Amino acid sequence: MKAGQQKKQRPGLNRFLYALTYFFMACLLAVDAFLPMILRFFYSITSAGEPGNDLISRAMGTGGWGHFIHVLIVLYITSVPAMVILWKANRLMKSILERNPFCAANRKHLMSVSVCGFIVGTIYLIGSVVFYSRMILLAIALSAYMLGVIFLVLTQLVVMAAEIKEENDMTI
Amino acid sequence: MPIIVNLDVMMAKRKMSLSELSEKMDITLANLSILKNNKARAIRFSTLERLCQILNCQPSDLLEYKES
Repeated sequence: MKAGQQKKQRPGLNRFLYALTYFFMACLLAVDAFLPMILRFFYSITSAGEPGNDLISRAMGTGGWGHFIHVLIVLYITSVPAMVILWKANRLMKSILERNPFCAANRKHLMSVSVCGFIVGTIYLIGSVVFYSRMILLAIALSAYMLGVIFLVLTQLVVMAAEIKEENDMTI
Repeated sequence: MPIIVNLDVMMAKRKMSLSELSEKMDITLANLSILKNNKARAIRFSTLERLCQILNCQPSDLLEYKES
């Protein structure tokens, strides 16, 4: 009875999530295209353009809008791992839609997401020292590292589940 | 794998084909060929019981331990 119910379990939600990953990829590309405009608007209405205590500001004596190019660089660099994460999430959703979630390929996808999390954390860490010294960047770096660790745990979970599934499939 | 399934020997003795056996056993042809080609990881006692019943043999006729 339960096996029959599982076949009809939320096909709509899975398809929505699959479409959502594509949508987020499109959003990321749009943000990448309009990032200078967005940052200019953001700086003009907030007090984000303040001089900071980082290496480049001290060396060049720039403040305020001098940070603009730095923030722009960091955001553009981190958009690459972000795109990779979204792409891997898309592949994961596709495997879920094909009703084969615990396969060997998903291990690589989840590991990529974890590595990307660590990369983003390191970028923000370096950015807080070199580019823009605010506690918020350290907080972002820490949460990115945490996400990396969580996804490492998740990969082991999926690997174990794949092993159990194969054992079960090969039991006649 | 150390455990060998001598299903083809027994099937030849009883003059039964794979498809016929899978029909009588009510398991899929794919699963039966997994068993026959020694790709199976485990076998349920219920399956072994049905095999012995249909082929009229002992488990030792079907399973063999060969040290690798």
